[in-house]
Amino acid sequence: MKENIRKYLELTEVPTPPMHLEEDVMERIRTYKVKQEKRMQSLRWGIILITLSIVLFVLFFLYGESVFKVLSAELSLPDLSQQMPSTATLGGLFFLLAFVDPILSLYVRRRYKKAYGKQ
Amino acid sequence: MPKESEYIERVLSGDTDAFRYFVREYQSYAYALAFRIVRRPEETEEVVQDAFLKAFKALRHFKQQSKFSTWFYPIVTRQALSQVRKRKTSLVEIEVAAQQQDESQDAAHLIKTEERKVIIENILDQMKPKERLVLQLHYLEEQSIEEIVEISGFSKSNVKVLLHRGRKSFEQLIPDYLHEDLML
Repeated sequence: MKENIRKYLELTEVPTPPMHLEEDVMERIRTYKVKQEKRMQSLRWGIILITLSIVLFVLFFLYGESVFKVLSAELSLPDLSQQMPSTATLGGLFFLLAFVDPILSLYVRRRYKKAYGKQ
Repeated sequence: MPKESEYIERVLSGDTDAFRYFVREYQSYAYALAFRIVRRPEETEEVVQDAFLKAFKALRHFKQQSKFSTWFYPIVTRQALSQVRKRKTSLVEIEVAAQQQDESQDAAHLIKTEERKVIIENILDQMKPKERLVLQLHYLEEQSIEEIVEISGFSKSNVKVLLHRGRKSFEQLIPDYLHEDLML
């Protein structure tokens, strides 16, 4: 029977790959590379923004009050340092901006992709 | 002529076009391999493209302890099997296949090569993709169990089981008259 199986299977044919297959594969790879580079670029920007917001938060935490005091005195305004939001509020805001927002937008993008297919 | 490893280095260092070497070198066999599982030219093309893209993305993980083909062909096999799983076979297709089978069974004598081919194609369509692949690799391409393990990424015992089951279901599906006809 083994020899028969071979005889039977020899009747079948495998089509040759289309001529454009090589170019199509290379095109998809190039598109992927471009997308990957864009993704890396936005990742780099994300890291810069998060670092910047951390630095700003630390600076604000350390010197915010005195800056407000000086500014109020210079501009002859009532002491603005009394109006400053608490550190906990600022920390919460910072957390929202720096972490929750990117995660949320990533989630929304995934849901969108799922609903409407690859963009 | 640069070695495969040199092309891999070039791709990893950012020369995307160097990957063309692998596409040129392996597309024919990758296509044949995927076709043996998927059995539809348009889907086969998609599977091969996806497999090459996956290989490109994962190239940095390729340890180069084996040949590129040993690493790449199981990717093609997995991609083709996942394509078959995704596919929802329509009722119409099943009915057409059954009708073709009935028609070919009616012509019980002196079956021409072309008709035999249709019957065998139908039988292969009815077989499970993994069994079909292993059977074709073993009997048509005369690949040994070890070679099939390398190509498919299945374990040795799995290949043996699939080969046994594939042989059995092939024998069960083949109509008696065709068997007699071939013996003539």
